[in-house]
Amino acid sequence: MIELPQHSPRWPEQPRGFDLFSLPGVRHLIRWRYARLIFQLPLLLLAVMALLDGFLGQQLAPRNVATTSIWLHYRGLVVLVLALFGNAFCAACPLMLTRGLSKRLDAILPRKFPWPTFLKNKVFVTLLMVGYFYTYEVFNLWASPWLSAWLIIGYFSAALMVDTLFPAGTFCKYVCPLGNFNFVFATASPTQLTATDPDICSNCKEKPCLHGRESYSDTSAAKGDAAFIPLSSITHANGAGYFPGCETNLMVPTITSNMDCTYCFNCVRACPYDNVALRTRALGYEWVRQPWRKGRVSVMVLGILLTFWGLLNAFAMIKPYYAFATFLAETLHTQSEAIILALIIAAVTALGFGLTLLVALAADRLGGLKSTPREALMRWGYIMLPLGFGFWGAHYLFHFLTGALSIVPVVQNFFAQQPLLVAFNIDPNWRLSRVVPMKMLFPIGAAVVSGYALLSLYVSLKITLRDFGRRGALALWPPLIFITAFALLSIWILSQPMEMRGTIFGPTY
Amino acid sequence: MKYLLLLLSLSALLLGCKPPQNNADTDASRVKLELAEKATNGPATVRVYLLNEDNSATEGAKVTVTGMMNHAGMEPVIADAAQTSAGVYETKDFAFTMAGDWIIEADAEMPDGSKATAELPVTVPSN
Repeated sequence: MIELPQHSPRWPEQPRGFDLFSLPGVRHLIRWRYARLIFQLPLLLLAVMALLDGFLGQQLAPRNVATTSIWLHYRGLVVLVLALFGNAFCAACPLMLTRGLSKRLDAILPRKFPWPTFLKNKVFVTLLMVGYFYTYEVFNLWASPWLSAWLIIGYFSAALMVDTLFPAGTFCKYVCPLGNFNFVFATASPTQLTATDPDICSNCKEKPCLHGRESYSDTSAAKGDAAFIPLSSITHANGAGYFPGCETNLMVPTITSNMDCTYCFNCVRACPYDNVALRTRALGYEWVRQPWRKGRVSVMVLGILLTFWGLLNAFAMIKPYYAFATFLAETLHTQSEAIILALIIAAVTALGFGLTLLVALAADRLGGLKSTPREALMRWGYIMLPLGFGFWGAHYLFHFLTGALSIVPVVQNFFAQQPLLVAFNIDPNWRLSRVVPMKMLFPIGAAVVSGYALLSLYVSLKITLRDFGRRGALALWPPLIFITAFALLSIWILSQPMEMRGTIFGPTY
Repeated sequence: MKYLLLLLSLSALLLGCKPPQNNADTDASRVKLELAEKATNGPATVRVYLLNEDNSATEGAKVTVTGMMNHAGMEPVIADAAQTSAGVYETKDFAFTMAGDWIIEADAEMPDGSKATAELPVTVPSN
């Protein structure tokens, strides 16, 4: 018999929309201990195919599984899924399948090391992310199946190493650039994990959603990995054994943001009361509630920088960029792409952050608040997130809609090259590429950018109404001007004819 | 399962020590590829020269020319090349759709059923 405490903490507000787990069979599936594996295995198989094709196959980016699956399909699908559902790619992440191997390595090492306190923020992952963007541009990863395959190896190795040396969840929360991109823009997602009945959480002593639980018919079977809760006490029992809790240290009734939530659904499986819901929420729900205001400056900075890096990532594919890069190269008397790119990325980073701070401070001052730069940033930084997601979404969607169907001939080509299948004479249909007519690409992109710009404006309005009272009308001007300029710039970039990289600094092959 | 994956990964690692040579099936002695004029953004004529194994000009082959960009997901340009003289085939409907780095591939199916292919890297300058 579990003794329940007699206190009732006040839990923060959570969405009360439709519970997707209430759909027939969904809750039962998700609470099954191997549910996550169903989603991870296909991606693992794809990763293996990408490795094989990247190392052994035709070294042409548009014909190789490694380049096509990573730079086209993953990126396109991730923004679609984030916009329409949530962080499904972290849920299905095959990197976590190294967990079995890392457990074996645990036996060799004396103990896990604590992740350094000064790195328990997003600073390290921000640096990794800028390094990743830089490497992507300098080494033209998008054009090289071989390098793309090495990237996969690097990712799996990093996940294994960090998972072996440090506590579970460290890689996801503090290291993984892909995951943290997903975390930032999962703030746009229309779903969120919540407590079905917060009062049950109030009376829950062990908090297994966070710490995990062990459940067996008999106490003697318990290994001491987590609090023991007998099987007979589990609501809708989902089997015996150890059920880990949240590895990124989120406790379900306190979740107010999708930041750091991998949608692994450990909490769903671990909760002995089956008290976790996946609820729908309105667009912008999280941004207007500003869940990062308490000490998560690095999170905000990451979100802001991702917004401006998104602009640069697309801008670097159009003619004005090449003109500017050529000008810079001539001015600095260098033909080194590495130097030019480093300078441009540094400038965009500084300019983007500086501009955001300027807008935030201007808004606060006009609204009559004498806030510190940090306070202003943490109030207004949220308006950057819909802008960033809108532009990343429009850009990735452009490429995805241009070439998504190419996965068919690419996979056909992969199998056609296998010695055992040569006899089948597989002839890939390379004409398969576009999903929509070319003339629809710009309108779709412009619509996405405009829609999220309007959402950013809505968030700005909510902030002014909440924090400024009558002077809100004045405070709104700087964000309004910025959002309008950002949207116009985004649409202009999308309207420019694309040019493939390599035209200035020599071919990329 | 995990040991199999580990073995697979280690094998891939060894095999990935240097990138494989491209164009493994290219038959440079039988197929030659060139642009009829300087590469510019827009319509272009791709000329394909085909030779039989005895170095005589190949007549009546089916030749397809594909223009690909060095980025996954960009739509390829595919055009058939018609014979214009002995062993010479030219495209009519081929066009570069943007500036940048392209790889043009010619796939020829000879009258005797044999196949040959060749690639030509091209940089299309900005206008």
